[in-house]
Amino acid sequence: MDILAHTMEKKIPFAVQINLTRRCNLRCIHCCVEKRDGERRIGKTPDHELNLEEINRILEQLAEAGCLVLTLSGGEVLLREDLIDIIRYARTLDFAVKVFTNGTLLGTKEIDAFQKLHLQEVHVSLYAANAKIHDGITGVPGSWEKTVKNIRQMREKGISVKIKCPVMRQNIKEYRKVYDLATDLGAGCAFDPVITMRDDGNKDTLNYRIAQEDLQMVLQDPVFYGGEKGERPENISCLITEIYDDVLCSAGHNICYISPEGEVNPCVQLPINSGNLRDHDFNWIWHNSPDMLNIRQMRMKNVHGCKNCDYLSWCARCPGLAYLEDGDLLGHSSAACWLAKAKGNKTLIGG
Amino acid sequence: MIDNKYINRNEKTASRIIDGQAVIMTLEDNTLHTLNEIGSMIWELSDGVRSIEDMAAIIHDEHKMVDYEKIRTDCQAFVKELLSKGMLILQDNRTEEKD
Ligand code: SF4
Ligand code: SF4
Repeated sequence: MDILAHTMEKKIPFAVQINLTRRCNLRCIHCCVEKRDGERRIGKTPDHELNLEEINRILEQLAEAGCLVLTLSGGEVLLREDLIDIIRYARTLDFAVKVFTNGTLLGTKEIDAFQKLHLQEVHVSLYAANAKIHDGITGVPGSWEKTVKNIRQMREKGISVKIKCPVMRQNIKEYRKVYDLATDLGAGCAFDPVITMRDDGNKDTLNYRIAQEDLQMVLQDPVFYGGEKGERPENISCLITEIYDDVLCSAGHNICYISPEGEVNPCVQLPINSGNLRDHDFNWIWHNSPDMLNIRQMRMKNVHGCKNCDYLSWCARCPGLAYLEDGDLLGHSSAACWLAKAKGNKTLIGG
Repeated sequence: MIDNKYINRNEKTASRIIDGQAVIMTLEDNTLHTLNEIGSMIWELSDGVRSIEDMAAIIHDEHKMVDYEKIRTDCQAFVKELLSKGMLILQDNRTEEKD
């Protein structure tokens, strides 16, 4: 059986991302997560965040529903002092666990635990091979050094690491060097030109997107797709690889997202609150929430404003970005247009 | 000799039974494997407490019309395949059963 097609068809939430906190110790200029006032320190879980007991109960419900791939992200997940307990319980329930982190707060204790608990992969954000450029983006001097040191230590322990590098105006000259550094460290890497707006509606971050000419140039570079391994930027890959029965994408069909406060959305990129796990169990939200059911019945033929588009064949429209940036998940998406034009023009010019 | 060993799941896996079929991810190579009915039963029975013979006896109990010897050789072949893919491991000693 093709498990992705099967889970799409049967509506089994095969891959779920939980953001455990909005708190972060860095101040990345392009960050899409709205921070709650001054919560940047490690410490007791604030009341609005799901606590360990609530998370464990949610994990049981997700396992029951058929979820195998569990991504834990933030904010910065290492600010959760119970992170290792959460991962340990997730592994007891036999999830494949991925952790997204900025890598600065990992100590020997955490790295040892990651190794013993056999994580699927740790994704680490790294914006440059040059400390100054990276620290300029994170807003915290010394962050590059910590992150790179910890990637190295994880690799020494055999932990699988993928460097995630959003490519923006500030670091466009760096991505090839990041690729070399990743190779040197024995880590994978993935680049992504799509800087998203903040989840509170603030669009300032969009100013960091690279210029159209630069985008066209990087899209011709095999290194941009992870070199020989040929990986595509992640946020659009879900569209290209998993399209099924003309649905918009995987969101709400076999993937979903859970916020630090327990809201369930169809995807991390699609902030439609379909119910809160403090009020209902997962199964109820997944199978009965009107918002979830609504997303599920949408089809590509319902998308409007794209029919006569010259760039349609290059387009990997993400309904989440269309909704976030342009206000209509069935309308055109300026992010997708930007990417599709660069790809289409590249092909038309380059042959 | 594989017949004297106890079969257990490799810790470097993650798995879920989805609609009766075991879906297993081998974490070292990020690969998904989907097992058929017999494979899924073997996966569920691989707990470090059972040998191939024990598994074959349990499966035979549920599939009485199939010859025991055939089930045993099928189990053996399946276990070997899952061992080669890093999903299972062999143990000399039985895992202590939990209460
Ligand atoms: S909403 Fe966007 S990111 Fe999420 S699954 Fe759909 S295409 Fe992918
Ligand atoms: S999102 Fe933009 S590029 Fe994509 S099909 Fe619609 S108009 Fe064309």
